[in-house]
Amino acid sequence: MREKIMGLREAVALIKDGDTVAIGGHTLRRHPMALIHEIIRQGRRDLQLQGWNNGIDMDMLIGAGCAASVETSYIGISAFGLALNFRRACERDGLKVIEHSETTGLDMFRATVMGMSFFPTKTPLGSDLMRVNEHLTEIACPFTGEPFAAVRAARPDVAIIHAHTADRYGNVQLDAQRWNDQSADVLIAKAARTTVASVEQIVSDEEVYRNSALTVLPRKFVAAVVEAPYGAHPCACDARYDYDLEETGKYYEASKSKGSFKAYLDTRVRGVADHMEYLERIGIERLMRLTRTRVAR
Amino acid sequence: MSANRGEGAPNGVTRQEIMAVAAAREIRNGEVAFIGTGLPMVAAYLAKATHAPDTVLVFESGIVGAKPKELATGVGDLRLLVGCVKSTGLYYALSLLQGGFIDIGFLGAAEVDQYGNLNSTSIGDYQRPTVRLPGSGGANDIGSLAQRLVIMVPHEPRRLVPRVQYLTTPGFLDGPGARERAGLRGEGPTRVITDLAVLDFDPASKRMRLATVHPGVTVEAVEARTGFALLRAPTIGETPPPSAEEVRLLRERIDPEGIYIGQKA
Repeated sequence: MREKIMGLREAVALIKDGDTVAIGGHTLRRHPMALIHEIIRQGRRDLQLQGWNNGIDMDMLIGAGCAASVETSYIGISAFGLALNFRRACERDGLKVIEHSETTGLDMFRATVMGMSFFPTKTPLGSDLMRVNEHLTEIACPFTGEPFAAVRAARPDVAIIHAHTADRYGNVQLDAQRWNDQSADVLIAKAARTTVASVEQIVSDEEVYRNSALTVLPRKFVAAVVEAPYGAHPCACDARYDYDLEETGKYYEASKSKGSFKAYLDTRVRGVADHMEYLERIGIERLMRLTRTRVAR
Repeated sequence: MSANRGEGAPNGVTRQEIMAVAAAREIRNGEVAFIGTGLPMVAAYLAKATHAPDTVLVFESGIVGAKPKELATGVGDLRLLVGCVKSTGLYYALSLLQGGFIDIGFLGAAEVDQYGNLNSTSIGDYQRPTVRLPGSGGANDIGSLAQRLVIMVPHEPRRLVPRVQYLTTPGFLDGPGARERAGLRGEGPTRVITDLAVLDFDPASKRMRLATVHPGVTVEAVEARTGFALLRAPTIGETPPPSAEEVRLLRERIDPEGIYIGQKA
């Protein structure tokens, strides 16, 4: 069997300028930040970003000049407020935004995963989402005539997700505590031509067999696995570590102007050789604190 | 809602506390409630701690039947997992909405119009907005498909507008029968709770009307802070004030740091 463990640099090189890149995670939770930092370091441009619910992940790529368009239901920095790079790009540069509801943002991936060219849903009917999103159109149920919205299937070039564990062959697992095969990440990864998964930890083959019910993505769906501990930081990673609200606050402050955001990227991303150096800059004391304050044990 | 933080209403109760209590009272015991962050989360915890202990809380991250001990920063927060009966994923939670299993949902917005339509996407032209907001998130899903929707906003003329500049989330669209014609499910918005009043919708015209004013607030003050001609219910009463026990629960147990309910007056 082909082994799929790659370094961060090699895995991100699978992404080309202009690609459609779908991003996993949810609000301030489990976005693949180590992969996103590396995309910025490699200077990818004109990416067409897709997701269903996004935050610092997309905002950072937009602020770093990597994005040509975004397609999602939401970009915000949770309790801090609006995503300011996103806001600036829309207001000053007319960034193209294809707006979804959360349901249609999932359905575009679900359609592809189920081998359908569209998926029927109710949510966006009657709203301006139907007007501004060219991937939504109204249809009638062939049996009852009832109106539905059809969501066009999305086939991203690349999906990037962050999960808890994987083996060397690319079988990706989520911990039992927050396991779910109904996670959006699973749909996003299965819908893409190429999926790059960063994980907290590479585990043995035996570990996967012993807990095979925790596998959310069998290896067929995964092209590359990158070991990136704390790879979602400053987002939370389920039961493994909590949000870093101190770092998120620093990010939010920095994103108030283009100049201060560039300085933030220089310190945290562009001027950092790799993920390990990033973690060193955050510091062991803070990382341990985030791990200790994890909740719901 | 930070603009109102710390502004005391009569008897030392904050405006946020009045809103949270009024929202909690909208939840009937045993209902399934779809909950986001902020004041709705506070309201739902309060309902469970008082008149509606059997309420089933659902969070969009796929957490069902939670009994959280702490407030959360976001709906993906693991703190919400505490005491839950099912931990699953997003499309399980969103399918509960589409399947018609959610009795009540709560939403805020940058703009609310007289038909209860909500804007949380953009001010100005969509392609080149003057203010770009985060977007629908789960708002459109909740407004389109929950059986009842409760809207919670600060009472400001720029927020309560004749017509939303962008319709992110359907209320009654352009009037009676419009939701049904569009193919939407659920009753639509049933209440609007602000820091000045509780509003509902006239059954015939589906336009917003004043139902009760909060203690110490006049009808004229509410109308002056509304950006359209507000209808009046046949009788306009006073919103029942929070009880001492409700205030104690909010301050001591649910939001002891005053994150959402504002400073203790």
